Amino acid sequence: MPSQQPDFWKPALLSGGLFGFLSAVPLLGALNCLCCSLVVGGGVLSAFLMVRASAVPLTYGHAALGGAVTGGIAAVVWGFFSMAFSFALKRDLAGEIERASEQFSGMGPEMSEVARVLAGIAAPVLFALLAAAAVVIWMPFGLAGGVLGRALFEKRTPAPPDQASGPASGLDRMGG
Amino acid sequence: MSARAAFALVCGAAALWCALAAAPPLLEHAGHGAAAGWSRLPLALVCHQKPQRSFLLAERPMALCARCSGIAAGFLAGSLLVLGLSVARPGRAPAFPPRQLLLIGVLPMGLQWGLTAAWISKSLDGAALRAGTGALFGFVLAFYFLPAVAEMAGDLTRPRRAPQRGEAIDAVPTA
Repeated sequence: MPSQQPDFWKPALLSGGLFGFLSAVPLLGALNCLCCSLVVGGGVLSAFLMVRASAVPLTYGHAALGGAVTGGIAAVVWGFFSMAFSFALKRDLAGEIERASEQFSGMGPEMSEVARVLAGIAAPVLFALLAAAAVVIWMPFGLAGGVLGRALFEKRTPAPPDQASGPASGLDRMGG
Repeated sequence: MSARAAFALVCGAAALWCALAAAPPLLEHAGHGAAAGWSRLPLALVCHQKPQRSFLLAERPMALCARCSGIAAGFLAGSLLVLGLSVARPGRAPAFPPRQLLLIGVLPMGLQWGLTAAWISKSLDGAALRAGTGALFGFVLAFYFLPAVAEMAGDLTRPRRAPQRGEAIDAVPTA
């Protein structure tokens, strides 16, 4: 990546940590059911922070990278705080999973079987598995958030390729 | 990684996502209930999956709600179009569209969601409208997402160059 582009780790840690925590908060975390809106919001925030910190126009590729890292960090933070909230609030996870499966009884009896298996897994292991799955699934959503944030907040016009001091981007290698 | 390879990768992932959404009801219909139940789980991380707000396939709800199904289908269609354009016009890099196009994609979905969430108009809460506005958003998103992924992949896979004598370290691109 061009060295002039801003560091993405700090914005990604900040926005991933914040939105990962919000995703773990009971009730508030349900916003992720709206097309993963909290994770996408994290990616948007990371792009906004990078635009503010950058002296040159932020590239879509760099915003995408920052957003993807944000999604991954949000997943890990979500897993940790979900478990913490679960212990702090003394949640009956097995009961909640059973009740959720009853709510989704229209999907068929196999959901009850899945719920029974999940309810039998120890909470720390269950949260670790969910967080690992969330890392894979949330990274593209964070990436989309980064791209949306770049489109929304970067109002400076990028320099033409021949004037740009950075190396050619991957798009210049279309034929390959 | 070339841009076209990155496009193909995203198209494959989008197709897999759509297949995951459609697989559970079809698996149930074919008698593979347990596999259907487990295949619903990954998508539960991003969607509420409420049966009453989802399309039916083989008389069973899909694993994504109508809006998310629309977004996924629209994104797949947009991705295939971007890939097709890159194949039809080799050597020509796709430009990022202006941000106004993104607003055109987001506004209908945002308005539909906002008006129904605020109970201003329940008539706008139909599954077809939710899916349609979602599909428009997904389709438009692909025209930003794919070039961004290609640019990111190009940046990450570009080989590092050792600094020359007398050259500032900062002037050397880093991967």
